[in-house]
Amino acid sequence: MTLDQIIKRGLELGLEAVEVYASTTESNSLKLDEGKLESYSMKELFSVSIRGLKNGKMANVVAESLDDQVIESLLQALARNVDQLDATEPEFMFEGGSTYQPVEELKSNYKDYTVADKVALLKKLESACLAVSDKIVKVGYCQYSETARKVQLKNSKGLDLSQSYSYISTFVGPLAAQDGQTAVGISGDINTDFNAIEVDRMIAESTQTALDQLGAGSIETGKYPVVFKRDVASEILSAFSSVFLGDSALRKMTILTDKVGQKVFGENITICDDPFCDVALIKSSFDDEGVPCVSKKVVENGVFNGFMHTLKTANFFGQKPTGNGFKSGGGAISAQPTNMYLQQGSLTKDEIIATVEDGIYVTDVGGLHAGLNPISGDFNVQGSGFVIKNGKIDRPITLFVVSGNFYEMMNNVDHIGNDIEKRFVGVACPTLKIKSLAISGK
Amino acid sequence: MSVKHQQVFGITPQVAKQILQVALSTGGQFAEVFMESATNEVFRMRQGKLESTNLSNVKGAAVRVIKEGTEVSASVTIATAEKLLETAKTLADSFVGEKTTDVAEFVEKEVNIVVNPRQVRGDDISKELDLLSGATRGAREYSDEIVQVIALLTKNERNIFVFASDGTWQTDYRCNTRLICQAIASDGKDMQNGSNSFGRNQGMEMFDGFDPVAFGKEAAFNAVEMLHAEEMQGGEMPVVIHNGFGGVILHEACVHGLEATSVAKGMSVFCGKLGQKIASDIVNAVDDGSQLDLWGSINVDDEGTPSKRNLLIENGVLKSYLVDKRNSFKMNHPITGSSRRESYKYQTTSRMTNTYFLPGDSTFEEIIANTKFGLFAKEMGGGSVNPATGEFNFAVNVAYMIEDGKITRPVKGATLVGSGKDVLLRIDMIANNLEYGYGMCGSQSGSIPTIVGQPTIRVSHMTVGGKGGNK
Repeated sequence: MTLDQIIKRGLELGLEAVEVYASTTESNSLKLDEGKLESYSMKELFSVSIRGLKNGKMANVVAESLDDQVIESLLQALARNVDQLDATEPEFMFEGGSTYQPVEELKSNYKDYTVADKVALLKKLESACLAVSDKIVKVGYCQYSETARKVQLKNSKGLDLSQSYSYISTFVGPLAAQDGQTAVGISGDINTDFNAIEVDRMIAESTQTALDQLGAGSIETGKYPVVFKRDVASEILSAFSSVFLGDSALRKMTILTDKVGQKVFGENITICDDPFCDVALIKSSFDDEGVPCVSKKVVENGVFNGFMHTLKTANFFGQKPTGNGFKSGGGAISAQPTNMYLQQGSLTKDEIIATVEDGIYVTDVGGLHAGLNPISGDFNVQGSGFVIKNGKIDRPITLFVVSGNFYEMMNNVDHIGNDIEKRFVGVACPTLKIKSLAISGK
Repeated sequence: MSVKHQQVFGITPQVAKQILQVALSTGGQFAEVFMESATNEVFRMRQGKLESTNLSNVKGAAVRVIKEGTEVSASVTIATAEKLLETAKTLADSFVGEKTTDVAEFVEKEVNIVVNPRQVRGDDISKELDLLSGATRGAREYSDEIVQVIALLTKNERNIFVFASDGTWQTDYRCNTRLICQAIASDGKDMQNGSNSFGRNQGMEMFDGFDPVAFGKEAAFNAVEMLHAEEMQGGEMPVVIHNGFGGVILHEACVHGLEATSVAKGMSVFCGKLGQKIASDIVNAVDDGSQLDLWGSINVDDEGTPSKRNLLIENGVLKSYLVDKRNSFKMNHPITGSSRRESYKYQTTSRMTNTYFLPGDSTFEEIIANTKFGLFAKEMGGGSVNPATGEFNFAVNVAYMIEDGKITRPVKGATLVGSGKDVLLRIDMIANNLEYGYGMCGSQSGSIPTIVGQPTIRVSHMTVGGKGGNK
């Protein structure tokens, strides 16, 4: 069946509106190990997600083929399932005809280069990492991937949109070893231009991270001023991004539910969600419901301006749609940020560290998927990093736990760095200095 | 194995042989065609109302060729015989050379059937709705402080077909079914989350005699208990980890580091440790995918190798890694029936199935009574590990302090961190109360169902994180 035939057939089965979202993904990935191509994997994937609306209820199905029989049986299941739903908040399908802010297509030139070029790039990464120091004993991860994706979104209410993008991602992870202790440093690059992949930066960053962590010791349990490296700050902000989403508000899974218009964070905190953000890799005109994306300040000088919404949650809270409805697992729509970032400050990372007399610089965290509670805001994550003494990086430390509460922490940010990541994907945050957090160690 | 002779994509053994011959035409030593047809279903109930249903069909194939340690592979959604032949040619063209290996005669091995899901789908969804409503009711009735209940039922039904140049010809049928209940408790100031999960590699028959109300109540208990708990005060102390999902410690702290994915590349702290002592003498651990109907069980793995019981640690000594076909060439280690992938979209590799510590001689009561001061981690949350350094972390969802040999007050926000090579050596008591927990493990080849299990164990000292205390 064609996409139009799917829509027509869905309507025949009694659905009031039908939407199809078809995506084609091509990706290739190369991994190198000890100078040799370890694996080369190619993917050609297709999927079509079909949503059907009836009596304000929405059900959805996903197929990986346009085969008549497969689609027919899924459409029938969809028509059956939609009658079973009894949620009270109405669902919507977006009408066509909106004006969209045009964005430049993200287009990579990777097809101009051969597999041999890509292998050569990985060999250079690996050998250069090994050459940095005798203590770099191995490059455990040395990987290059290229992805091209094309999306088409159509519905029975006149919506007809499409978007394509392609990019390259590369990452390297050298292993340093000394006296039976090991440490890994990871660095990556996302790019569109094969020639602009920042090989030298990745080599320097990853090897330095691994080498600096050698000899890491423990830290006494206590309360310390903490500086989060920008990658770590970004990970934490990303892990808590659900607190700003309409779905979380609907499910009462965020403490911000009744706080719109109130001051929730320190005055120095402004958090933006900007689909057209210059420093982000991907720019979007519309979300996966076809709603035009808009740029907004989610938190402005500490005041919470409002949730990021899908059509359903916007309606439920009586708000305008924000263009944040995106597909998650199984083809259903949920609210997600476009490009969300904490607005940067004026100090460099080193200037921030120089303000700390006796504290901790956290350069890596683990366990964010499990050690945080988006409802209460509490987090407890594994950390590694350095002791800061008299404004300078002192000794490396590992296996401690950083504990705090996201809402309290955002009221205790002393300094914000000026170093937001270029070409970020999803969520970004500059270096942050927090007045005090609990550290559990020895 | 009711689908043994079904064909997806019209790939007969003859066609599969042709594809493999093309794949091996430039000197490849091993080639494989993996085909899959799967259905994923999710029913989500919120506050007693069915909020959404998702139904996904997954259908595609993966072809791979291995030559001198290099694996080239392709995953394709559109998987007709023509497309797979063309794909095999593209893969073969990645190598230069003459044909060296022939495709062996396909042999359908008799496999011991350990999973055989039956009632996957009924005439309607009333049984599914009853379960979700029951769990919701159990949670809501437990306490007025429960403000939100979400109940989820997921079914992942998979047919897989594997042909390989070593003569492998296997199919497998699985259905991983799981019920989850999440309850949120609030006292107007704080909010805490409690959950419960039960899964098997079975159809709806797994719920015969099951009490969804009691199941939902347990999720609510966890949320309410933590709502009224004090903040954990961090530091180093003895930790008693309870049975069931507590086995996540073995999963994270050790067995990820025994997967060939890490070991073959020299990226595990357990490299070169076979036959050596890696745990205290009382520690025995297995990974066993061949147990009847269990959540992590499989009849054959995704390379067509029958699942089996692998003794990983015996009296503290490392006995085996988890090894797939490709890494077995590289490591000179027998294959262990452990090769798994979320779907054809991922390259298959060595993963866990049902992984647990074997029971010891102590009782749960003895362990608590013998602990002067420490943490009792009753319900563990998820965790993660860096296999290259062995450093791991995991969250404790429900915890209590142990004082003078007694379980006293509940504490929230405890997180355990440590190093895999140390923590196993510090296990000094193991109880006789083995139980299982149900999880999804995410790693290189995607997200797969695994059981983590253990009897109650005690670790003599561990770093516990938390933000309580006044220091």
